[in-house]
Amino acid sequence: MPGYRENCLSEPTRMEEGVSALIEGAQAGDDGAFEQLVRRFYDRIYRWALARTGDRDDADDVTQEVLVRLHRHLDGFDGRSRFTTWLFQVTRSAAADLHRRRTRRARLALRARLGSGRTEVVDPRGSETQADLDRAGGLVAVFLEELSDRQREVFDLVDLHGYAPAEVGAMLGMEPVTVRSHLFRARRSIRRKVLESHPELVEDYGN
Amino acid sequence: MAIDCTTALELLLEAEPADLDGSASSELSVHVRECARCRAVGQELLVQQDRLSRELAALRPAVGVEDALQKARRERMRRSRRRQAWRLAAPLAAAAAVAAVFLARGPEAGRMPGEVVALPASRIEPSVEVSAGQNVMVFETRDRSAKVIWFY
Ligand SMILES: [Zn+2]
Repeated sequence: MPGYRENCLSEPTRMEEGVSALIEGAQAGDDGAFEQLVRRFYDRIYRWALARTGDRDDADDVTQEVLVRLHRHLDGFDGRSRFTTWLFQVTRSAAADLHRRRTRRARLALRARLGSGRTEVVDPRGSETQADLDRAGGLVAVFLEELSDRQREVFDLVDLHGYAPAEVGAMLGMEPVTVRSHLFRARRSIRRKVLESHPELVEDYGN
Repeated sequence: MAIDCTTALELLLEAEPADLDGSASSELSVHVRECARCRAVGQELLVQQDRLSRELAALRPAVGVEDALQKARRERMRRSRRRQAWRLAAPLAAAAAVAAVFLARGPEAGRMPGEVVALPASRIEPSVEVSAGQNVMVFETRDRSAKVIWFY
């Protein structure tokens, strides 16, 4: 599987190529440079948001919010960290704020319903999301639904995008040993699912 | 073989990709290279992870990047209008609150928070300088005997 690993290990470095000129341009007020920067990282932001939230609709909202914040905060990027690391933090913070807003809104909505004498609790995630998941492949559903937020982020960065566990630890503010523990648990969930759907591979183990 | 298949299968659930195809030097890799059954498992795990990676990459944002850029531009303008309105409204509201406290106590009643500077009556018209980025609000009692100079 040569394609798999070549792609994967080079990504963190590949993403940074030629970015500093765009950042400088955008910081100097060049809208064209800013838009190019966004075009370049748009899918990446969405993927980070998806890994963080585990929900496609939420990932859309977070991505949109990051675009607004990026414009406002880009001046604050001083080049001391990698741009992707910085942008990743902007995405995470937007996701955390969205989560806080959603939780608060759900609480208020619940209170309003209780106040009006209706007591049913409605899942704030719509039924469309569930339908999307059902259509998606089995492993995608495991990734989005069964992994914890941390497991999903770590697995996505390390195994699917080739970041080193130590680097992911710095990005997520975690000890490397914690990163590994999340990674191993994520791998277990995903790989068990693979083996469940291919029982012929493991049927005579333990004999 | 140093490890048996049951152990190898257990290790495969958490192993690094290089161990799954037996290209590392660990005991597990050695086993995978020599055991067809575990090699088949390792290969399938790699194939399925690659497939997961492609399926996730195929999930795209609901809005294309050009539309998202346009939406972000509109949102920035909306927020900047809101911020401007806030900039005007906040000091007025705060000054009104300070005035309410001040008037409720009466000019002689008590001390205001902060430093109180007594000025000769003839010099009560102040000239106030603030550094860039700081705002100032000057509020005066109805009989013009006291001023509140509020930096924020
Ligand atoms: Zn074996």
